[in-house]
Amino acid sequence: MTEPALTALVVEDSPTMRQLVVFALRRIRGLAIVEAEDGVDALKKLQAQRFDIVITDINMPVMDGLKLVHRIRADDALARIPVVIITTEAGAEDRARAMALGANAYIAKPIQGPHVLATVKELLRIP
Amino acid sequence: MGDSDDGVASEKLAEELLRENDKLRALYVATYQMHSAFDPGEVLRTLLEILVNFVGAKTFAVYVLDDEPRLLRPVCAEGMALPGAVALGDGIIGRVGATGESHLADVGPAGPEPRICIPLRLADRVAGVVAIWDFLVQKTGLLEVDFELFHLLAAHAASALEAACRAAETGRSPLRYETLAGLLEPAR
Repeated sequence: MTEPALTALVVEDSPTMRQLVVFALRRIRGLAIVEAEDGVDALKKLQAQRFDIVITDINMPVMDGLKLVHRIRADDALARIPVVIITTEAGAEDRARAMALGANAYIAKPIQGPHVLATVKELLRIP
Repeated sequence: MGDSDDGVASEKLAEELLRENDKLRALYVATYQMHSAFDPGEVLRTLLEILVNFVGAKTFAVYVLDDEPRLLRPVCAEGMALPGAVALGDGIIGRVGATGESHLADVGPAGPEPRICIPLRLADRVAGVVAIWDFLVQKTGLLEVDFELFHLLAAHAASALEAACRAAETGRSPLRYETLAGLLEPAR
């Protein structure tokens, strides 16, 4: 069996929302998907294996999505991984704060599958 | 019809299929998550997650019918304090509880009455109501998938909650061979 070409990490504390994002991403052929429940869980997984993209919620217990972005950008080994934020916070200030911390894309809930798919594909340079 | 017309038609069809696929995915995930919970708190949490993450609701409450004295009592709320109980027939919430007919207004300014009110049906009776007063700022209008989700919640949320309550009361899943065989016996 061949290894998947790309791997995504989906970080979301809500199992319902996590499943919706995972289902949307399954449309990308060859993309392996790993799930994490919060920022701490995500960091553990990021240190254990290579990821090509991180899709994260902001409001999560233990470690939120903004802290996670900060930690990713501060770590030389992880700093270049594209990060997509998916959140209920759609204000301009929230978006600016996330982008200033180093997020590559910002999607407000409720999500549309095709929008998530297009964003992830663009960041992974998948035609 | 020329090549460019064919191309436009194919693109439109592909977009439509993507939207349909997206809608079915949301409905599947919502149903699966609601019926896979065996704890009433988890069912309510899933219901809240569906309303926030899938529909984009911001201020809402879930009521369950108290048979005596026929009051809809709130069991959880999001974005607001737990509201008071509502008598059947009173206002939009009480009317939806009494008639089993949904109240569906589009996204707009929040007022004292909910914009959306959905009955939670259990067979032929109303077991509760979901009332939504306000939506996330980025939610500018209701989509076809939102109405499908309301329909799904009306048909499935109460039965998921009832199954979870039964499982919690007895400490085990209500579906066991001996229970089912006993219930089927008189019909054989």
